[in-house]
Amino acid sequence: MSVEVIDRRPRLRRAQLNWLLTALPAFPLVLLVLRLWYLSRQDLPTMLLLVQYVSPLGMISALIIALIGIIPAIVLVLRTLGGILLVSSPDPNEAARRSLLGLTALRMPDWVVVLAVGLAGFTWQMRMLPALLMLVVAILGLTAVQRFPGERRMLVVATLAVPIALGVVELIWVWPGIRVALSAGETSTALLLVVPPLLGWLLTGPVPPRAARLATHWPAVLATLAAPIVVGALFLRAPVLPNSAVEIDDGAGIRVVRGQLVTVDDTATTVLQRGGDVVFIPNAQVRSKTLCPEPVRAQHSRITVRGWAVDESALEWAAPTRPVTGEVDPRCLGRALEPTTTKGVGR
Amino acid sequence: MHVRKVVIRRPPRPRRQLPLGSGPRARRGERALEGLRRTFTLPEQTVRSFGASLAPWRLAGIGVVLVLVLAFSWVRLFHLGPPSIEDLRRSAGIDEWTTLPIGVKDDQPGVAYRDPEYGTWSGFDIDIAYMIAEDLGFRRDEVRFYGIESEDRSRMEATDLEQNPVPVKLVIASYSITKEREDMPNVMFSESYLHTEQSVITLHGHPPVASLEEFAGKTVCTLSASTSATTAEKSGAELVRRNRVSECFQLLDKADVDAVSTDAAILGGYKFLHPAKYDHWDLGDDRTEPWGVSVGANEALRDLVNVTLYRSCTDPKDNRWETAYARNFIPEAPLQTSAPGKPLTPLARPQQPVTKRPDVRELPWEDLTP
Repeated sequence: MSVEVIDRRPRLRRAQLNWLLTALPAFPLVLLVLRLWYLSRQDLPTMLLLVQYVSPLGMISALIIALIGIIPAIVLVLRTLGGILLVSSPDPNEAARRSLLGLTALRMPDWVVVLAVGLAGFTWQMRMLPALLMLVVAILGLTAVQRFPGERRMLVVATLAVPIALGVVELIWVWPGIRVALSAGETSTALLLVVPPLLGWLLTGPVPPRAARLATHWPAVLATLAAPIVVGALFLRAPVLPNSAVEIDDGAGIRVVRGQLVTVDDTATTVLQRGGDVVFIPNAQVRSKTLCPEPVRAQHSRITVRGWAVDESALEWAAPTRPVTGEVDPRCLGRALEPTTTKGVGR
Repeated sequence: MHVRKVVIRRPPRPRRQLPLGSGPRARRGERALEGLRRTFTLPEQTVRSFGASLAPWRLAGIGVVLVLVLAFSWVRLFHLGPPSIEDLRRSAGIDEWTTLPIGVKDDQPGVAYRDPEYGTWSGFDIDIAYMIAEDLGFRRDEVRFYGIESEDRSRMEATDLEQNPVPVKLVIASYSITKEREDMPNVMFSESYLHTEQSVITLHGHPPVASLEEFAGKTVCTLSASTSATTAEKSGAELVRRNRVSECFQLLDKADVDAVSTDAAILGGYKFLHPAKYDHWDLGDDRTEPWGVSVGANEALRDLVNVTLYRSCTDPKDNRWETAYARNFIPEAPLQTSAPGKPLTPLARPQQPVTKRPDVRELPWEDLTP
């Protein structure tokens, strides 16, 4: 006896999707405005000055560079978690109806996944690549289980043989890096390199049906709620204006003004200092200027795996970079370029 | 007309036979049982998807991955863990200093000596000071040396050439590390950069001495607020305390005191300058004087100094300590005897004391590729 169920839920789901699609482009715009607000230390006149001179293209490129690794991460993680949810439920369509995560995974075209994998391979740091391989292997296995549930031999190959083989090859390849990371005390890098090949073969199938929603839907919801905060925290710290040091001679000796160079016009050089004050330096007093590297260097790991530094992505490795010299310009440290000796005192 | 009344009896409507147990109470009971069955029994397994036998392990695997992701992002976002060199520099406030004032002794040839004619500074402490300043980012012209006396070392107050008091950021003045000094409020020591010992120097011709007890009843000059003073006190000799070791030697030259006792590295310099005038004796004291750098209350600065000392100790390409030792102590060593053929008084241990690895996220020179 079949029961006709009139399901009104798709319309509610579409309404939710509409709101989501509205909020999605607004988020980067809010980020850009907040970045300027944070840079001006919440002072309106400073922010108006910055808005005059900060180029939107510069900020958008800073946003893209800061976020380019995160977009494929979101796509691949959602596809994996959704795939596990779909495969664990008795009816995939029912799971898709009940959960936005399942719907995303069900409707995601394969070319989007391939593009995300390619982008991630280029932009992720080397120590995240085992995790990328784990996600790829999981997605392949889950897609095979979902679309061809009957063919046992193909499924054995796709969900057990291929992941285990790839995991073993990967472990052999990164083994020197794991050993070096453990001896240097960097447990996070060592875990990132050793856990994905060991767990990759395990994620290619269903979980117990009752726990499926708890293990996949709710972590995805929590990650979606936390993602704007995390992305905001990462982006708000990214530099927007060039960090520079200006050596000035205002009659009372030579001193160095450090901060972010806003603009140079025919009468004055404008610098936004570290505390948030803006100084206008007459051009006659400026002796020299220099560009300074970022003061807050990101966590720099000295570990390499077969010659590839673990915190470098393929893009950084392939594209030319400025050679890093050990010398730091003394102006960036606040001291004059030519050391002045004062008479008498002590020396 | 006859009307026949016919009574038609409709056959009795058959009473619907209700099945047993289908009254309202039975229906409620059925519904309750159905609910219980739905909650506590598994759904019928229509099609077992491939891989379902590993399902609980898979759940555990996902749990492990989620926990690791949380921990990793927490550490990355909030930068937990030991500070990096940049963090230490920022806490120490080094980038705001245009010069680095260091308090050193100025009358100890071979250790820290200021030439009164040319105004140049030389000595082992000076070389160590330049080494530390270089790693902190100060060029040689940006380092300012100021003479400091023994009892001012705990207050980090030196004097310039016009005798004005000058606060200094580092004290590298043959300052031995002891627990009592560490407990003082404005004294914080780095790791030790030299191991020496206490010795005694007399005018030439003095009978050989092997311990300070032999000076019981005689006068011995030593530095005030120094570790040599505490040792000399216990020996029973009559102590004369001076703030500067050059004053002690002036008294010794006039024979107003019988001996001068302080660290061997300091006395060695005077013996080297006037080998025929003095005799330098090795005391049988097994206590080591570990010299350290005092940074006051600036803990981040102490960690940065320790990074420099650790590098000089462990990096095989860094030989600045060895160069300083070779330039200052090795020329003095052969002359530290009362007569040729007599035993030499050792000045200081010729290897840098072993330094612990400071708690820093990464060390700038460590290259782990073979």
